[in-house]
Amino acid sequence: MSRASLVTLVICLALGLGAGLYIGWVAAPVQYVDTAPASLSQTYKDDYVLMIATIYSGNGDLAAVRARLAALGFDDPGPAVAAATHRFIAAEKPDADLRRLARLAAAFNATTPEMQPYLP
Amino acid sequence: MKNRLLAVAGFALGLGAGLLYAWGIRPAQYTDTNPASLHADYKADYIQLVARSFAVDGDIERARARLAVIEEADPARTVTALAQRAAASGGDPEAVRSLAALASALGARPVTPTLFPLGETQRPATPEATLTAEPTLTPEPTLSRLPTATPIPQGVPIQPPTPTLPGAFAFVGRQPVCDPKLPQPLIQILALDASGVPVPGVEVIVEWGGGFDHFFTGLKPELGSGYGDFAMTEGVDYTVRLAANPAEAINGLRVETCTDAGGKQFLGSWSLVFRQP
Repeated sequence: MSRASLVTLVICLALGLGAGLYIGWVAAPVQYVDTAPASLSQTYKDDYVLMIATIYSGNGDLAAVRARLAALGFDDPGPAVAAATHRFIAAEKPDADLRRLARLAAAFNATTPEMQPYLP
Repeated sequence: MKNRLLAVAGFALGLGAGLLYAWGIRPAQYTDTNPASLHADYKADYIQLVARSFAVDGDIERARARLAVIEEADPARTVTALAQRAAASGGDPEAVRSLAALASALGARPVTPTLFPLGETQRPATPEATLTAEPTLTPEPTLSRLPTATPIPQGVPIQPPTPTLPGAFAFVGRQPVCDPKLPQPLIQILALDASGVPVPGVEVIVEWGGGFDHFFTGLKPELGSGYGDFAMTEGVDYTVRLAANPAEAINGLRVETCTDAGGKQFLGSWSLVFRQP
Protein backbone atom coordinates (compact mmCIF):
# COMPACT_ATOMS: atom_id res chain seq x y z
CA MET A 1 0.00 0.00 0.00
CA SER A 2 1.35 3.35 -0.99
CA ARG A 3 1.78 6.11 1.51
CA ALA A 4 -0.99 8.10 -0.15
CA SER A 5 -3.37 5.17 0.15
CA LEU A 6 -2.49 4.72 3.78
CA VAL A 7 -3.09 8.39 4.49
CA THR A 8 -6.43 8.22 2.70
CA LEU A 9 -7.41 5.15 4.70
CA VAL A 10 -6.44 6.70 8.02
CA ILE A 11 -8.21 9.97 7.27
CA CYS A 12 -11.40 8.23 6.16
CA LEU A 13 -11.21 5.89 9.13
CA ALA A 14 -10.98 8.89 11.45
CA LEU A 15 -13.82 10.62 9.63
CA GLY A 16 -15.96 7.50 9.88
CA LEU A 17 -15.13 7.11 13.56
CA GLY A 18 -16.05 10.71 14.20
CA ALA A 19 -19.31 10.33 12.30
CA GLY A 20 -20.13 7.17 14.22
CA LEU A 21 -19.48 8.80 17.57
CA TYR A 22 -21.49 11.85 16.55
CA ILE A 23 -24.43 9.71 15.52
CA GLY A 24 -24.15 7.46 18.57
CA TRP A 25 -23.74 10.15 21.17
CA VAL A 26 -25.41 13.23 19.70
CA ALA A 27 -27.66 12.67 16.69
CA ALA A 28 -29.19 9.36 17.72
CA PRO A 29 -27.98 8.42 21.17
CA VAL A 30 -29.20 5.34 22.91
CA GLN A 31 -32.71 6.03 24.14
CA TYR A 32 -33.43 4.66 27.54
CA VAL A 33 -37.01 3.65 27.85
CA ASP A 34 -38.64 1.15 30.15
CA THR A 35 -36.15 1.89 32.88
CA ALA A 36 -36.51 0.87 36.50
CA PRO A 37 -36.73 3.22 39.50
CA ALA A 38 -33.21 2.18 40.51
CA SER A 39 -31.85 4.12 37.54
CA LEU A 40 -33.49 7.39 38.55
CA SER A 41 -31.27 10.34 39.34
CA GLN A 42 -30.55 11.16 42.96
CA THR A 43 -33.05 14.01 42.95
CA TYR A 44 -35.90 11.81 41.83
CA LYS A 45 -34.84 9.01 44.13
CA ASP A 46 -34.91 11.42 47.05
CA ASP A 47 -38.39 12.56 46.12
CA TYR A 48 -39.39 8.92 45.77
CA VAL A 49 -38.11 8.30 49.29
CA LEU A 50 -40.03 11.33 50.53
CA MET A 51 -43.24 10.00 48.98
CA ILE A 52 -42.62 6.64 50.61
CA ALA A 53 -42.02 8.37 53.95
CA THR A 54 -45.19 10.42 53.52
CA ILE A 55 -47.26 7.33 52.82
CA TYR A 56 -45.64 5.54 55.75
CA SER A 57 -46.60 8.42 58.03
CA GLY A 58 -50.19 7.78 57.01
CA ASN A 59 -50.42 4.00 57.20
CA GLY A 60 -47.35 2.75 59.11
CA ASP A 61 -46.92 -0.10 56.66
CA LEU A 62 -43.20 -0.88 56.93
CA ALA A 63 -43.40 -3.97 54.74
CA ALA A 64 -44.69 -1.86 51.86
CA VAL A 65 -41.92 0.65 52.52
CA ARG A 66 -39.29 -2.08 52.27
CA ALA A 67 -40.73 -3.31 48.99
CA ARG A 68 -40.80 0.18 47.52
CA LEU A 69 -37.30 1.00 48.64
CA ALA A 70 -36.07 -2.30 47.23
CA ALA A 71 -37.51 -1.24 43.87
CA LEU A 72 -35.32 1.83 44.15
CA GLY A 73 -32.31 -0.42 44.57
CA PHE A 74 -32.04 0.11 48.31
CA ASP A 75 -31.69 -3.36 49.75
CA ASP A 76 -30.40 -1.82 52.96
CA PRO A 77 -33.05 0.85 53.44
CA GLY A 78 -31.84 2.42 56.69
CA PRO A 79 -28.71 4.12 55.36
CA ALA A 80 -30.52 5.14 52.17
CA VAL A 81 -33.33 6.81 54.09
CA ALA A 82 -30.85 8.46 56.46
CA ALA A 83 -28.81 9.79 53.55
CA ALA A 84 -31.90 11.17 51.84
CA THR A 85 -33.00 12.75 55.11
CA HIS A 86 -29.63 14.44 55.51
CA ARG A 87 -29.87 15.85 52.01
CA PHE A 88 -33.34 17.21 52.75
CA ILE A 89 -32.13 18.71 56.03
CA ALA A 90 -29.19 20.32 54.25
CA ALA A 91 -31.55 21.71 51.63
CA GLU A 92 -33.74 23.14 54.40
CA LYS A 93 -36.87 21.44 53.14
CA PRO A 94 -40.16 21.92 55.00
CA ASP A 95 -40.27 20.59 58.53
CA ALA A 96 -43.26 18.38 57.76
CA ASP A 97 -41.20 16.53 55.15
CA LEU A 98 -38.23 16.27 57.49
CA ARG A 99 -40.40 14.85 60.24
CA ARG A 100 -41.78 12.20 57.92
CA LEU A 101 -38.32 11.24 56.72
CA ALA A 102 -36.90 11.18 60.24
CA ARG A 103 -39.77 9.00 61.38
CA LEU A 104 -39.07 6.56 58.59
CA ALA A 105 -35.36 6.57 59.39
CA ALA A 106 -36.28 5.84 63.00
CA ALA A 107 -38.35 2.88 61.86
CA PHE A 108 -35.14 1.46 60.40
CA ASN A 109 -33.07 2.44 63.47
CA ALA A 110 -31.10 4.76 61.26
CA THR A 111 -31.52 8.02 63.13
CA THR A 112 -28.64 10.46 63.51
CA PRO A 113 -28.17 13.51 65.76
CA GLU A 114 -29.14 15.76 62.85
CA MET A 115 -32.58 14.18 62.80
CA GLN A 116 -33.30 14.65 66.47
CA PRO A 117 -35.11 18.01 66.06
CA TYR A 118 -37.56 16.29 63.74
CA LEU A 119 -38.28 13.28 65.89
CA PRO A 120 -41.05 13.19 68.48
CA MET B 1 -10.11 3.89 -8.03
CA LYS B 2 -8.14 2.04 -5.42
CA ASN B 3 -7.91 5.13 -3.25
CA ARG B 4 -11.64 5.67 -3.52
CA LEU B 5 -12.28 2.12 -2.40
CA LEU B 6 -9.88 2.58 0.48
CA ALA B 7 -11.63 5.81 1.43
CA VAL B 8 -15.05 4.17 1.44
CA ALA B 9 -13.79 1.13 3.32
CA GLY B 10 -11.99 3.29 5.84
CA PHE B 11 -15.02 5.48 6.42
CA ALA B 12 -17.30 2.48 6.79
CA LEU B 13 -14.88 0.83 9.17
CA GLY B 14 -14.56 4.00 11.21
CA LEU B 15 -18.30 4.54 11.24
CA GLY B 16 -18.90 1.01 12.40
CA ALA B 17 -16.26 1.32 15.11
CA GLY B 18 -17.72 4.63 16.25
CA LEU B 19 -21.24 3.29 16.46
CA LEU B 20 -20.05 0.16 18.21
CA TYR B 21 -18.30 2.26 20.81
CA ALA B 22 -21.10 4.81 21.21
CA TRP B 23 -24.01 2.40 21.23
CA GLY B 24 -22.43 -0.78 22.54
CA ILE B 25 -19.24 -0.27 24.50
CA ARG B 26 -19.84 3.10 26.07
CA PRO B 27 -23.39 4.17 25.45
CA ALA B 28 -25.02 7.15 27.08
CA GLN B 29 -25.21 6.61 30.81
CA TYR B 30 -28.02 4.45 32.10
CA THR B 31 -28.10 6.32 35.38
CA ASP B 32 -29.68 9.64 36.30
CA THR B 33 -32.81 8.95 34.34
CA ASN B 34 -36.07 10.67 35.09
CA PRO B 35 -39.51 9.21 35.79
CA ALA B 36 -40.60 9.83 32.19
CA SER B 37 -38.35 6.99 31.07
CA LEU B 38 -39.74 4.47 33.53
CA HIS B 39 -41.30 1.30 32.27
CA ALA B 40 -45.09 1.58 32.12
CA ASP B 41 -45.53 -0.62 35.18
CA TYR B 42 -43.07 1.45 37.20
CA LYS B 43 -44.68 4.62 35.93
CA ALA B 44 -48.01 3.34 37.22
CA ASP B 45 -46.33 2.63 40.56
CA TYR B 46 -44.94 6.15 40.55
CA ILE B 47 -48.39 7.65 39.91
CA GLN B 48 -49.75 5.46 42.67
CA LEU B 49 -47.10 6.84 45.02
CA VAL B 50 -47.99 10.38 44.03
CA ALA B 51 -51.67 9.66 44.69
CA ARG B 52 -51.09 8.00 48.05
CA SER B 53 -48.74 10.75 49.05
CA PHE B 54 -51.34 13.33 48.08
CA ALA B 55 -53.88 11.47 50.20
CA VAL B 56 -51.63 12.12 53.20
CA ASP B 57 -50.26 15.61 52.60
CA GLY B 58 -53.07 17.07 50.49
CA ASP B 59 -50.56 19.14 48.53
CA ILE B 60 -52.03 19.26 45.03
CA GLU B 61 -49.33 21.56 43.65
CA ARG B 62 -46.67 19.11 44.71
CA ALA B 63 -48.67 16.28 43.16
CA ARG B 64 -48.96 18.27 39.94
CA ALA B 65 -45.21 18.88 39.89
CA ARG B 66 -44.52 15.21 40.48
CA LEU B 67 -46.85 14.19 37.70
CA ALA B 68 -45.35 16.76 35.35
CA VAL B 69 -42.05 14.89 35.26
CA ILE B 70 -43.62 11.81 33.73
CA GLU B 71 -44.38 14.01 30.72
CA GLU B 72 -47.91 12.81 30.06
CA ALA B 73 -49.98 15.13 27.92
CA ASP B 74 -52.96 15.03 30.28
CA PRO B 75 -51.98 13.87 33.77
CA ALA B 76 -55.56 14.02 35.05
CA ARG B 77 -56.69 11.67 32.32
CA THR B 78 -53.74 9.37 32.98
CA VAL B 79 -54.55 9.21 36.69
CA THR B 80 -58.23 8.66 35.94
CA ALA B 81 -57.44 5.83 33.53
CA LEU B 82 -55.17 4.25 36.11
CA ALA B 83 -57.88 4.52 38.74
CA GLN B 84 -60.40 2.94 36.39
CA ARG B 85 -58.01 0.12 35.56
CA ALA B 86 -57.30 -0.46 39.23
CA ALA B 87 -61.01 -0.51 40.02
CA ALA B 88 -61.81 -2.80 37.11
CA SER B 89 -59.09 -5.25 38.11
CA GLY B 90 -60.33 -5.35 41.69
CA GLY B 91 -57.26 -3.56 42.96
CA ASP B 92 -56.64 -2.35 46.48
CA PRO B 93 -59.61 -0.09 47.33
CA GLU B 94 -57.29 2.29 49.14
CA ALA B 95 -55.25 2.64 45.96
CA VAL B 96 -58.37 3.27 43.91
CA ARG B 97 -59.61 5.81 46.42
CA SER B 98 -56.37 7.77 46.40
CA LEU B 99 -56.14 7.70 42.61
CA ALA B 100 -59.75 8.80 42.31
CA ALA B 101 -59.13 11.59 44.79
CA LEU B 102 -56.08 12.76 42.90
CA ALA B 103 -57.88 12.55 39.56
CA SER B 104 -60.71 14.60 41.00
CA ALA B 105 -58.36 17.15 42.47
CA LEU B 106 -56.56 17.49 39.16
CA GLY B 107 -59.70 17.83 37.12
CA ALA B 108 -62.32 18.76 39.66
CA ARG B 109 -65.11 20.85 38.26
CA PRO B 110 -68.28 22.02 39.84
CA VAL B 111 -71.15 19.66 39.51
CA THR B 112 -74.79 20.50 39.58
CA PRO B 113 -76.29 17.60 41.44
CA THR B 114 -79.75 16.76 40.22
CA LEU B 115 -81.08 16.49 43.73
CA PHE B 116 -79.43 19.60 45.09
CA PRO B 117 -80.56 22.77 43.36
CA LEU B 118 -78.03 25.51 43.94
CA GLY B 119 -78.86 28.93 45.18
CA GLU B 120 -78.06 31.77 42.85
CA THR B 121 -75.09 32.81 44.95
CA GLN B 122 -73.69 29.30 44.85
CA ARG B 123 -74.29 28.50 41.24
CA PRO B 124 -71.06 27.79 39.41
CA ALA B 125 -70.25 29.90 36.40
CA THR B 126 -70.43 26.95 34.06
CA PRO B 127 -72.92 24.46 35.40
CA GLU B 128 -72.77 20.97 34.01
CA ALA B 129 -75.94 20.81 31.99
CA THR B 130 -75.64 17.13 31.19
CA LEU B 131 -76.46 16.09 34.71
CA THR B 132 -79.43 18.34 35.13
CA ALA B 133 -82.58 16.35 34.65
CA GLU B 134 -85.83 17.53 33.21
CA PRO B 135 -87.97 15.62 35.65
CA THR B 136 -91.17 14.45 34.08
CA LEU B 137 -91.67 11.99 36.90
CA THR B 138 -92.77 13.10 40.31
CA PRO B 139 -89.80 13.42 42.64
CA GLU B 140 -89.98 11.84 46.01
CA PRO B 141 -91.27 14.40 48.50
CA THR B 142 -88.45 13.81 50.96
CA LEU B 143 -85.97 15.17 48.48
CA SER B 144 -87.30 18.67 48.76
CA ARG B 145 -85.99 18.82 52.31
CA LEU B 146 -82.45 18.08 51.33
CA PRO B 147 -79.92 20.71 52.27
CA THR B 148 -78.13 22.58 49.55
CA ALA B 149 -74.82 21.18 48.47
CA THR B 150 -71.69 23.26 48.44
CA PRO B 151 -70.18 23.03 44.98
CA ILE B 152 -66.47 22.79 44.48
CA PRO B 153 -65.26 26.11 43.15
CA GLN B 154 -63.63 25.68 39.78
CA GLY B 155 -59.87 25.47 39.94
CA VAL B 156 -59.76 25.10 43.69
CA PRO B 157 -58.25 21.80 44.75
CA ILE B 158 -60.32 19.60 46.94
CA GLN B 159 -59.04 18.08 50.12
CA PRO B 160 -57.92 14.48 49.95
CA PRO B 161 -60.48 12.04 51.22
CA THR B 162 -60.47 10.94 54.76
CA PRO B 163 -60.74 7.19 55.20
CA THR B 164 -64.27 5.99 54.69
CA LEU B 165 -65.55 4.53 57.91
CA PRO B 166 -68.20 1.85 57.95
CA GLY B 167 -71.57 3.48 58.03
CA ALA B 168 -70.07 6.88 57.41
CA PHE B 169 -72.51 7.54 54.58
CA ALA B 170 -76.25 7.57 54.86
CA PHE B 171 -78.64 7.23 51.97
CA VAL B 172 -80.33 10.56 51.42
CA GLY B 173 -82.69 9.85 48.58
CA ARG B 174 -83.22 8.84 45.00
CA GLN B 175 -84.78 10.61 42.12
CA PRO B 176 -85.63 9.60 38.58
CA VAL B 177 -83.58 11.35 35.96
CA CYS B 178 -85.20 11.96 32.60
CA ASP B 179 -82.43 13.34 30.48
CA PRO B 180 -82.76 12.51 26.78
CA LYS B 181 -79.11 13.48 26.32
CA LEU B 182 -77.92 10.50 28.32
CA PRO B 183 -76.93 7.80 25.82
CA GLN B 184 -78.08 5.00 28.11
CA PRO B 185 -80.00 4.63 31.35
CA LEU B 186 -77.70 5.03 34.33
CA ILE B 187 -77.63 4.63 38.07
CA GLN B 188 -75.94 7.88 39.04
CA ILE B 189 -74.38 8.11 42.47
CA LEU B 190 -73.42 11.27 44.25
CA ALA B 191 -71.43 10.95 47.48
CA LEU B 192 -71.15 14.02 49.66
CA ASP B 193 -69.50 14.75 52.93
CA ALA B 194 -71.32 16.35 55.84
CA SER B 195 -70.83 19.83 54.42
CA GLY B 196 -72.05 18.82 50.96
CA VAL B 197 -68.66 18.56 49.29
CA PRO B 198 -68.45 15.69 46.78
CA VAL B 199 -66.37 12.75 48.02
CA PRO B 200 -64.31 10.72 45.56
CA GLY B 201 -63.26 7.11 46.01
CA VAL B 202 -66.48 5.84 47.56
CA GLU B 203 -67.02 2.23 46.56
CA VAL B 204 -70.51 1.43 45.30
CA ILE B 205 -71.82 -2.11 44.86
CA VAL B 206 -74.56 -2.84 42.34
CA GLU B 207 -76.37 -6.17 42.48
CA TRP B 208 -78.99 -7.73 40.29
CA GLY B 209 -80.38 -11.21 39.80
CA GLY B 210 -77.34 -13.39 39.38
CA GLY B 211 -74.71 -10.73 39.21
CA PHE B 212 -73.00 -7.82 40.85
CA ASP B 213 -70.45 -5.18 40.02
CA HIS B 214 -68.79 -2.32 41.80
CA PHE B 215 -67.43 1.08 40.95
CA PHE B 216 -66.03 4.14 42.64
CA THR B 217 -67.04 7.75 42.71
CA GLY B 218 -64.60 10.25 41.28
CA LEU B 219 -63.49 8.22 38.27
CA LYS B 220 -65.24 10.69 35.96
CA PRO B 221 -63.86 13.91 37.37
CA GLU B 222 -65.38 15.89 34.55
CA LEU B 223 -68.78 15.07 36.07
CA GLY B 224 -67.80 15.86 39.63
CA SER B 225 -65.49 14.31 42.16
CA GLY B 226 -68.29 12.61 44.08
CA TYR B 227 -69.99 11.25 40.99
CA GLY B 228 -70.06 7.70 39.73
CA ASP B 229 -72.43 5.80 37.48
CA PHE B 230 -73.45 2.39 36.30
CA ALA B 231 -75.18 1.49 33.03
CA MET B 232 -78.56 -0.17 33.52
CA THR B 233 -80.20 -2.79 31.36
CA GLU B 234 -83.90 -2.65 30.69
CA GLY B 235 -86.03 -5.11 32.62
CA VAL B 236 -83.45 -5.75 35.34
CA ASP B 237 -84.00 -4.87 39.00
CA TYR B 238 -80.93 -3.43 40.68
CA THR B 239 -79.93 -3.04 44.29
CA VAL B 240 -77.32 -0.47 45.26
CA ARG B 241 -75.31 -0.30 48.45
CA LEU B 242 -72.09 1.32 49.55
CA ALA B 243 -69.23 -1.00 50.41
CA ALA B 244 -68.72 1.03 53.56
CA ASN B 245 -72.31 0.46 54.63
CA PRO B 246 -73.50 -2.81 53.07
CA ALA B 247 -76.45 -3.15 55.41
CA GLU B 248 -78.26 -0.26 53.78
CA ALA B 249 -79.55 -1.50 50.44
CA ILE B 250 -81.46 0.61 47.97
CA ASN B 251 -83.71 -1.83 46.16
CA GLY B 252 -86.00 -1.79 43.19
CA LEU B 253 -84.02 0.34 40.80
CA ARG B 254 -85.08 -0.41 37.25
CA VAL B 255 -85.17 1.45 33.99
CA GLU B 256 -88.23 3.65 33.82
CA THR B 257 -89.75 5.22 30.78
CA CYS B 258 -89.66 8.99 30.43
CA THR B 259 -91.54 11.20 28.05
CA ASP B 260 -90.09 14.35 26.58
CA ALA B 261 -91.97 17.58 25.82
CA GLY B 262 -92.85 16.29 22.35
CA GLY B 263 -94.40 13.13 23.74
CA LYS B 264 -91.50 10.95 22.67
CA GLN B 265 -90.59 8.18 25.07
CA PHE B 266 -87.05 7.33 26.14
CA LEU B 267 -85.31 5.40 28.91
CA GLY B 268 -84.71 7.19 32.17
CA SER B 269 -82.01 6.93 34.79
CA TRP B 270 -81.80 7.13 38.57
CA SER B 271 -79.85 9.50 40.74
CA LEU B 272 -78.96 8.39 44.26
CA VAL B 273 -77.37 10.60 46.88
CA PHE B 274 -75.37 9.46 49.88
CA ARG B 275 -74.13 11.82 52.48
CA GLN B 276 -71.94 11.67 55.54
CA PRO B 277 -73.90 12.67 58.62
